[in-house]
Amino acid sequence: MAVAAGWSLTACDSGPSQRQLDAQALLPHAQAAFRQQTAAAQLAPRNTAYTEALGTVADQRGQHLTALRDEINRLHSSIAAQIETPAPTPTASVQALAGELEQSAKAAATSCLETSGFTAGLLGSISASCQTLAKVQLA
Amino acid sequence: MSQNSALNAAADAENTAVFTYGLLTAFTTGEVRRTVAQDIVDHRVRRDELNEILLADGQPERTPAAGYRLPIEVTDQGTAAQAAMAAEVDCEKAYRALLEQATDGAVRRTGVDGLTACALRSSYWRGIAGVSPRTVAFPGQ
Repeated sequence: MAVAAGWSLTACDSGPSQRQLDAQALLPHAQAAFRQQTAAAQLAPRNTAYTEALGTVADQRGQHLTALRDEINRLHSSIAAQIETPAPTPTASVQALAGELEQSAKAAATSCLETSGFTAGLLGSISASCQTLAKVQLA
Repeated sequence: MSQNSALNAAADAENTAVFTYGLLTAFTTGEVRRTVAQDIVDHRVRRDELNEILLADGQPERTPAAGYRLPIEVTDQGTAAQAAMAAEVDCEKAYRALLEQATDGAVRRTGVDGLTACALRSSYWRGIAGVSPRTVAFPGQ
């Protein structure tokens, strides 16, 4: 009994590892990439003036999703299961999606400032990309 | 690579871009030429910002080289756009490297702002050069 209590206390004290925290920090960016990839694909057939642009948004947010999922898997693979939950709710319009992309660009830039190394470079690049998707593709 | 060597590389890339755009003025007209003029100003501002960080850290500022060799021969507006794209891509790579090497958040802010500005200008020049799509998933990669 005493041994079991001691083990439990040790496990509690150790808390989440740095790798787990780093993976957790990437999770909202991966969820946003998945949400916006899905939204762009859903909006494309209904907005013919933006069909090609929305296809590019879906493709490039899909590439962000893959890169973020790879990094989350490397850091702490069990967190990757949360990327596609909850199921995304429909985005109302192209303008709404552009607004969400700008928000994602700002969020990725903010996280970039708080990280380092490869992760900082990845988040900074995704932030810059989201700005171009909002301001160039969906302008 | 350290933060300071990444800052040096980014300032050098900005100096190259200033030189490149200066040359492109002669091969562009109208709205495109006005964009070239604005891009020169933007690159000078970024270059000065990088040099200020270096000077504040007791490092020498980066000065332009005596001359530069462009990656392609510029003969008209189409090749001018390709040269502009090449200059922007080089700056993007330097800023992404700076993000990976930076040891403080303020320098990382300079990196992400510089990378974003380059990515937006790159998109414009891809459009002028007729490259599709005009955006890429990972600027600086």
